[in-house]
Amino acid sequence: MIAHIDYIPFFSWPEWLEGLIVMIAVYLPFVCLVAMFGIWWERKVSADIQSRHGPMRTGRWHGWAQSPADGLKLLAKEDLIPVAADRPLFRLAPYLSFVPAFAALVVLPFSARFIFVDMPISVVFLFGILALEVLGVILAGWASNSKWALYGAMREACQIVSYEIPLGLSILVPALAAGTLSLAAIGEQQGGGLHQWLAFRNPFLFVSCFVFFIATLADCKRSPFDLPESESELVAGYHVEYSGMRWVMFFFAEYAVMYILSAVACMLYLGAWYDPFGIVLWMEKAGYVWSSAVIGAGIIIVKAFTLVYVQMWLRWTLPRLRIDQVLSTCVKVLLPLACVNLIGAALWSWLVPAGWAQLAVQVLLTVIGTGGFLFFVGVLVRAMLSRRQGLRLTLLTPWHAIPVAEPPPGPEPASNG
Amino acid sequence: MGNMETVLFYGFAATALAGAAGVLLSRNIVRTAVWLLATLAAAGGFYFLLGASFVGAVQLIIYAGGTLVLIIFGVMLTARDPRVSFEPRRIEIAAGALVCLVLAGALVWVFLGTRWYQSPIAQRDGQGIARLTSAQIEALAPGVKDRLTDLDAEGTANIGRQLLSTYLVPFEVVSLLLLAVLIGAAYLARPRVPASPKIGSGAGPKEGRA
Repeated sequence: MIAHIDYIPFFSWPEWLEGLIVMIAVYLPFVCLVAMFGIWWERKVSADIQSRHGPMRTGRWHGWAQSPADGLKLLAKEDLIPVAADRPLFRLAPYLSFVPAFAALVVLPFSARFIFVDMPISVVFLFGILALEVLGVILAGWASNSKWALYGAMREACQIVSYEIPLGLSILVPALAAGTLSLAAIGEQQGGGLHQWLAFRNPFLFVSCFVFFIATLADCKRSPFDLPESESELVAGYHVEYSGMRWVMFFFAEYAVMYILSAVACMLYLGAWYDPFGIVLWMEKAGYVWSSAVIGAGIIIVKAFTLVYVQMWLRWTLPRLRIDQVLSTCVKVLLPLACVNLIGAALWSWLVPAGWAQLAVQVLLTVIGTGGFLFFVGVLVRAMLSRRQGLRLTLLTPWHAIPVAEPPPGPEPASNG
Repeated sequence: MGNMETVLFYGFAATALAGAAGVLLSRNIVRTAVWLLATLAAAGGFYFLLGASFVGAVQLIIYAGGTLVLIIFGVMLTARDPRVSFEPRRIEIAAGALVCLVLAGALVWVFLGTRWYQSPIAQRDGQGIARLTSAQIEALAPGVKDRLTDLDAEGTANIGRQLLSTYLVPFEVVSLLLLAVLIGAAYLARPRVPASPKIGSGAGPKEGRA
């Protein structure tokens, strides 16, 4: 455990009471905010990509109140349980899905000072807790006693059990390079500039970063791996029979896991809470403890949401794979790549000394990575500035300047697809 | 609410026992699996309480997240009726009871015969094998404190070191066994007839064309 890392010592109450209060007062609102913002943002991103407006009227500015309004609606909605459902399991499943997502957040550091629970093996713990989420999905599909839900649950079971292997191996690669299994300790080693980020340390870590990201896509059931809830064939997959608050649980779990896995990708590969120029590290060393912690937390949230944006972008761009393609992608492509990365990273840290060669590789990979990132940002900005009406209207026009009559503001179904 | 660890221990113990009873008494095979989840998760909780968080996390990954998913998956695939229940015969009940009695006897015997390890720091504070609260840790001398906080990380590192040195041969034998299982599964699952070029070539859905 790292001695100087702790969370905010606000209280002098017993430890368990302190923990309970932080859970209820900080983490629960955080999960809800992430989920509600994620849902609103997903609608805006999908609207952009399809040249629509998305929600524009609820609230005043770009339909910002759409998610709270939906929440109110779902609170008041009738809670339906199918007659033929297995009632106890049907009721249990949403909690089994949401609680692991919530519990995984506990070990996720926000910055060097904002860590709620610092375990020496927090990566393994987080992975273990998230592995429980799939049970909620499978039980939901089975207990609904509906063939669409059951199909969704079967696909989910298949997919998650397969993709856990490349995901776990790609978690091991940066842990191996950093020499620890603690997320906070892995994060601490990445300060001092872009070339210190673990993704740019050696070629194997660079490839492993992509393998990890693809495996997380499958793990949070995002396109092109969204077979468990593919609405065009399975209506909504495993949660088709759910309504009201139980359905909200599944949805919150999905967005929470999207955020958590993106944040883990940042912690493991993309520089944790450090900025690309080494400013936060300098602040930490200069003794600006709290301001550097707050800025670091902001940085990792921005980074994680950038990855969430990429997930959304892929979802609204790529077609869905077929189940055999999903599995053969895992077994024939990702799994061998992950194994090669693991062995390669181990050999690298054994054979390559920390000298000019190592530095040269780091700089080269940094240039490649940054170049790729800037290229995609350029593509996005160009698309935004182009003459495609929807994009211009949604992102660059103030809300009151948009003609209300045409085209109809898209009241999408509560985006379960 | 004096000692939170004690409260948690009894909570986990009650969950584990209730789960085990549920496994025994439930007639519906999927519900049985869910009761099993309670027992397995509570066992993970015990490991966390004992400060063996690596074992606890591995318990969650392998048993709760992996094995149980496979069990439920297998049940869903093989059960003819989704409401399948099973009626064991008398002889099966007798054989099961015998096995359970032998197992229980062996466990009690081991339990009584073991000299339980207590970490010296915890023992001195009269805490048994439970970990100390933060206030108690603050009260310790600096050198002792460092050793205490490193216990968990050291345990994990030690497991790795032992697996690759003292227990290397069993470790490799287990991996060979898993490899054999993988090959066996691939053998069982292979197509009996030569695959037609359509299947797996990505040309379209395999069925539903007629």
